[in-house]
Amino acid sequence: MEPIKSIKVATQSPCPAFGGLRVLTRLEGFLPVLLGNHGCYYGLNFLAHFYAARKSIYAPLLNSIDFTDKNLQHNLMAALKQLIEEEKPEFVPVINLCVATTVGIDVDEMARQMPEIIPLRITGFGTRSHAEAKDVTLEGIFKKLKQNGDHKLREPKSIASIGEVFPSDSIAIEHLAEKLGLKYRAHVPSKDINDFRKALNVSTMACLHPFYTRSMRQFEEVGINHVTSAPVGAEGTYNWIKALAEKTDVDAQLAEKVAREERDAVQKILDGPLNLKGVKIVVAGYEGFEFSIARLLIEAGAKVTYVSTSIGKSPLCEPDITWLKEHGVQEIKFRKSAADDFVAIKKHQPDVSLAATDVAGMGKELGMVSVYFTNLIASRPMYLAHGAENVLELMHRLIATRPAVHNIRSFFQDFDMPRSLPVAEVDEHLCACCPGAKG
Amino acid sequence: MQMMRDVDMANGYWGALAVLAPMKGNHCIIIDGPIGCHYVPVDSALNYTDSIPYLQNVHATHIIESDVALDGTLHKLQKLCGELIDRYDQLFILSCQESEIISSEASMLEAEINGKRIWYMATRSLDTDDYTARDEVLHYLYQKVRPTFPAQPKKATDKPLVNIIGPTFGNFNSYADFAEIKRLITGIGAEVNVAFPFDCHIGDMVRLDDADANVLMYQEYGQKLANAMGKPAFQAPIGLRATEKFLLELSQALGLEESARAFIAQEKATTLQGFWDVWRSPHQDIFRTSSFGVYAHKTYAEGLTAFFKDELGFTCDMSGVKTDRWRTKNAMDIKASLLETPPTLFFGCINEKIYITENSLSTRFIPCAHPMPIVCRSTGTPYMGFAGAVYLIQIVSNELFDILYSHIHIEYSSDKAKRRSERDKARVEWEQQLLGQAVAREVRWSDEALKHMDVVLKKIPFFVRVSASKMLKVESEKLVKEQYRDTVTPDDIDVIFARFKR
Repeated sequence: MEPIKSIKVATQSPCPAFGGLRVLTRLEGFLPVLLGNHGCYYGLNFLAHFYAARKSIYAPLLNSIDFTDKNLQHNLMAALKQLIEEEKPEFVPVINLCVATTVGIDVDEMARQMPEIIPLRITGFGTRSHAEAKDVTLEGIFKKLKQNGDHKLREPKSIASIGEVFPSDSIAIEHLAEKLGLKYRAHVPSKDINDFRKALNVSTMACLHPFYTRSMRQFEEVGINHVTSAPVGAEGTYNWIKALAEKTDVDAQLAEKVAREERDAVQKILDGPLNLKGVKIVVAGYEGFEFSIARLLIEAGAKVTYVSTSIGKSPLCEPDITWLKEHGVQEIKFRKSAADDFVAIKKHQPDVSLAATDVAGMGKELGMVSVYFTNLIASRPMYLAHGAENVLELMHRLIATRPAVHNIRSFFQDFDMPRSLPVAEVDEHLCACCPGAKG
Repeated sequence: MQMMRDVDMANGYWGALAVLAPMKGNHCIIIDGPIGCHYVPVDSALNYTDSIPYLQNVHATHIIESDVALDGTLHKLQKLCGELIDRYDQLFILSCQESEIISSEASMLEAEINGKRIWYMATRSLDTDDYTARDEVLHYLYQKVRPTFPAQPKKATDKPLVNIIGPTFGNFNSYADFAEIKRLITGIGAEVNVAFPFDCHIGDMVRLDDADANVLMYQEYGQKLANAMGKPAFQAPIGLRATEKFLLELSQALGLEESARAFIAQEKATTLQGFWDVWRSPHQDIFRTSSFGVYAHKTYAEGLTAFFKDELGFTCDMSGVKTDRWRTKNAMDIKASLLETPPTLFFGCINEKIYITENSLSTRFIPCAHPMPIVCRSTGTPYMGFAGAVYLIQIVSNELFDILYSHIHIEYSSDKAKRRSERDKARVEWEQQLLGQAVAREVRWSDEALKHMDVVLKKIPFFVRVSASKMLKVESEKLVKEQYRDTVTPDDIDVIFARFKR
């Protein structure tokens, strides 16, 4: 696929509203409502029922005639009112999608009239990625809770964490907090709205993923500070623990001791038999925390030449970006398009590509042991020594499947398979580790 | 205005995409829409409905805020078409809901440039559903696009020619059904002319009129094209009688009655042997004492209902056509009817699977419709035709065996030690009673519990009810004893019943 030159294409992302549904459908007592078109509803339900939660999503059927009806706002509110009366949910997040936003449906007005409603505006043209839509959603929830006065029981020396991480990772942070003498109160997003309430009453937030900029603003407004990045890799772990200790006034000596212990534990894994010396990896996800993974892989000895993400650059990314640049990453792409990744894997010819569905698929055609970032990387622990071990084990496991990948690839590649790279193009860009590769 | 739960049908844009994308040839699709309209149908949904990781020939305008507020998308489309016209022979611009609401003027880009063409497809996404659009796009391709392609010679064969109309992307199990329909057509001595649009080159459209008859894969769409062509048309069948009728009628239109009869006889001796043997074995008794429900699009809903009810003898608890939800106000509330009469087996999509799970129904779910993340790429799993009858009788048999499996007695490894000590304790108690050293502790059944037992038993398939009732009674009493109570309550029965589902 040749990249488009004539127009600037948007960031690769599923419909951003899916990011919102990831958070909202998992919350108990929440009844999510979409306002848009049935094409949107179908696609978003499809994704949400498979990748978010087994929960019903409600939506009104709106045709073009409805959009010209001056009573539309009123009719929608009546329908929502009836739904709330019937189902008695605790909260009703109402997401204004593209068409409803374009015609000016006022979700804020709905929320003013019905206290259950959390107004959200998530559009394909305005919200830039599904990761950032999670931020918009959390911002909406925190705003609502603050309006309800759920932020007034501030507890000193307590923390909460934010970011969709593997459950054992949040437990790892909890243990770490204990070692530092801190109280770990909650992790969000979660299935329990009380966790969000707890988060609004801690003294410091650990912002584990670098796209929660709006949510961090909500915390700043009530005087809660935050640390960015995550305890990933040896150096990352050390720096993160020190930064957290500083924000929470932990005794400097204790912090230094804990930080060193944890760093050394990670370093032992990185230097051990699971190291990745001589392995070339491309990290091309769209989840928004590709930097952490790239850091870990580099510390383990891998050569990471290209890192791309769908999120935009923000101060929350700074520590990771500086580090990656210092450690030989040639290309770091924010707001990447799918074509950027296609071009990159052909150019860099990595042994392993961690990428979105389309690029992961193409990677296999080119003989790489590529995997879908979302399913394989985003769904496993990566923090501290345990996380490092887990991620490195996966890389070795993938590399071990190289003969199987070549076995199947070469079976098919004496023939131009439909809707795939032609054989000539594969030959041109075949991964260096494949038998018969040019490089 | 009504709130719909779990919308299960997409819009016109999705329909147009499902029709245009499968065709081979040097054409591309330009989506005039925001990022979500590009990646949700193309990268996400297609990955689950058809297991295709990416489509190379799909491009998009990726509408951003300034396009909505100020500029519209025409300038982007102009640039895109200008660039893509060098790479492709045919460019199809698809409108989608957002470009329609900002009134994109893309229709003015329709043009012919040095034999290459730009087409604008107004998919009417704000108003139409997926299937209406598939119907219209198939018709549009035939009426408007086909005449612009150069003529091709008729397929060199002395056999009658048959088109298959309607296999597209995004249909449940369509790869296997399509293979079976092809097998049936060639089986009676005809030949497939154009399988439109799923298995043809875009230029093959010009040969559509060469056919002697059309077979329509689905009742949901394709009829508009079939009517315009004016040839004898036949719907793809589900079930034995429907398939027989289909073959006889199709062969009559083609003058192949004799070979069709021979084919049916041959099928009975080959493909359908398995059906006959399963049917006459004791499995059949299970069918005739169990119930099913189906909620799918018309072809599958009606086909499966006729097959399971009229041919296998199942009781039909519910049969609903999904599309009705869009076209009539009296559509079935599928969640309510599932809760009212949970059938033994239910055929549906992921929405109903969720209702069954969240309400802890004992109903077994079998997929038969999208939306549903399920890989159906093997051609050996048809629901249509004779091969479909064999496959369907096989999957329901196995599902019923699995129900049996979950009800027959099991000694859980984790419980063994506990059960042993319970037995020992019970033995001592019993011996002491006989020796007059202790008073027997009787467990009583409240009237409500007895009534509830009947209610619960009705939820259990008839063929395992005897063993289930025994287990319910013994286990409920045990539970009561464990908790030092003396009366079984309806709640106790529910607790035990929930364990059956393991």
